[in-house]
Amino acid sequence: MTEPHPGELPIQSEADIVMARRAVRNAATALGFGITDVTRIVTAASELTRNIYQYARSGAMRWRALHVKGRVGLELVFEDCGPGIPDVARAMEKGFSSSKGLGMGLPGAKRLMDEMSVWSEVGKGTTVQVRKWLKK
Amino acid sequence: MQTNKSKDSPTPASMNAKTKSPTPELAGRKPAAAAYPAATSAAYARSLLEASLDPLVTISAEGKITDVNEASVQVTGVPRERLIGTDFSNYFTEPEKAREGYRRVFSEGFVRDYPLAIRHTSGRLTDVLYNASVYKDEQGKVVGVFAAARDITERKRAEERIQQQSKDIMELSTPVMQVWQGVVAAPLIGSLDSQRTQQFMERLLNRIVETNSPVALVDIMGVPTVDTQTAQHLIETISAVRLLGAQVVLTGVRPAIAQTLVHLGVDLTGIITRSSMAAGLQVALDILKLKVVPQDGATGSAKS
Amino acid sequence: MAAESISVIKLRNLLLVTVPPDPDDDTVSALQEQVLEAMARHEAKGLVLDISTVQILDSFFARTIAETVQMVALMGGRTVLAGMRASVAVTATQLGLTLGGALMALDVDRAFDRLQAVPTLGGGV
Repeated sequence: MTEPHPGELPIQSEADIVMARRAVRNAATALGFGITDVTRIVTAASELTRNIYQYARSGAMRWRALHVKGRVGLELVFEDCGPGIPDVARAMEKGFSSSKGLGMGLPGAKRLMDEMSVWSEVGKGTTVQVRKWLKK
Repeated sequence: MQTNKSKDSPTPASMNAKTKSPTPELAGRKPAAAAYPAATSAAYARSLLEASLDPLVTISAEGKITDVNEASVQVTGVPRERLIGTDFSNYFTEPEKAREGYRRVFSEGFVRDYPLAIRHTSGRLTDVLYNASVYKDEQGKVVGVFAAARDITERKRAEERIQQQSKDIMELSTPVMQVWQGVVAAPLIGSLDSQRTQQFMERLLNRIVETNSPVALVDIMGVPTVDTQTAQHLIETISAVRLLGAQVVLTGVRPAIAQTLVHLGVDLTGIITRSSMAAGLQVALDILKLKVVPQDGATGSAKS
Repeated sequence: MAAESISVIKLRNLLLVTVPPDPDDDTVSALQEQVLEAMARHEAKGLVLDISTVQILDSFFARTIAETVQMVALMGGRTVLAGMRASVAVTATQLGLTLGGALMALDVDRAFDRLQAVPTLGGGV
């Protein structure tokens, strides 16, 4: 395992979604995640990055390795200054979907990752933090 | 300091002649410090502390080390004079956790089996469990904390070995075998927890792809019960196999499990089930459009 | 960003498209357009999507595939997705993705067998 450097990627176009997938794939693989977990993490990142592009048009994704109490993990943070999510709790409900789906993809990403935290304020923006830990 | 000239410990009789037996439990035992004059009892106590294999330490109310024994010097690699007066939490891999334990000793009077890791100057780490308690002066005022560390390195190694063996057992007990061209079989045995089921799912899917098998026989006769989460994972497994372009034939569903699945409202449409793996194999052959026929001239006891 | 070029191959009266490993959104959309265009041009009865090199299947990709399957059905064809990877299957199931009633096959060979085994009826999946 090689320690991936923390990094940041601006999300401003559709092309950045693929860039985000590649960056996350590299970081997850470097940390030693198996192929299935890498797939889960990259897919979650794709969903959350697309959220930024679709609803806020611009934002950023940051990533860093985690070392807590002997456990190793990967943390991804997705930030935007978009319209915000009016009802985060509802957006997190499994199977929730609406035609204008702000917050779409949150339940799915949550299922793929180990931890998720969402902060959002209408008119200000949204921050989504997800983490996945290496299994021993 | 007076030295005791006699090689043997004083007998109980002489002890009773000279001193009162301090407590009923000590009577009849080899005399402890109570039988010795004050000056030698201090030396005796000290020698016991130094003889202890466990690192012992006393910590002041300000969190500074006030005294250590030889074992503490050994485990930290720091000489006695340099340990005394320093912050005790300096010598751990998680200083804040050490301080938290120390605070707990003060608030509750003691702490038991508190896990920490001591760092030697060479970098070597020693996993320990701490037993600590407050100690008081003659007026009953708390003077500091007395802490004893128990080295659990060996125990941790044994625990890791057991964990690895559990992993190995998990893999061995959920084998996925190719039983025919196009058919893999997985007899599941034992209770399935969430993690085991997920690992099984990945292994099953990989085998299906590797062997290019359109049919997977999954037998759960050997699974006594499933909880909600495991039932979900089982259903997920069946769905995932479908995405590959293969299908699962589920066999050996016990009444208890059938109940759980139905009560969970699990969608069982499209899942092929049979009572035994043998019956499942017949379904597999049908799906693959294969037929078992006797060899030329043989009667063959099994009908296809 | 320019979409990767998608080649649509005609075999008998069926179409074969090999999907690249990590297509961006433009490529996925272009794939749909080219498939429908080829369906019309060749009056094909079926489509095989080879996804054996695809590493990530997110909701956008899944939605586009589901749409494509439905569109192909409206044009009288059936779609088979061939060769999904194990890791992708695990993730897609966890995400709860459906692929619009597409048929699945372990590989391209079996996909073609599947499409050719059915008598050629128009419409329906």
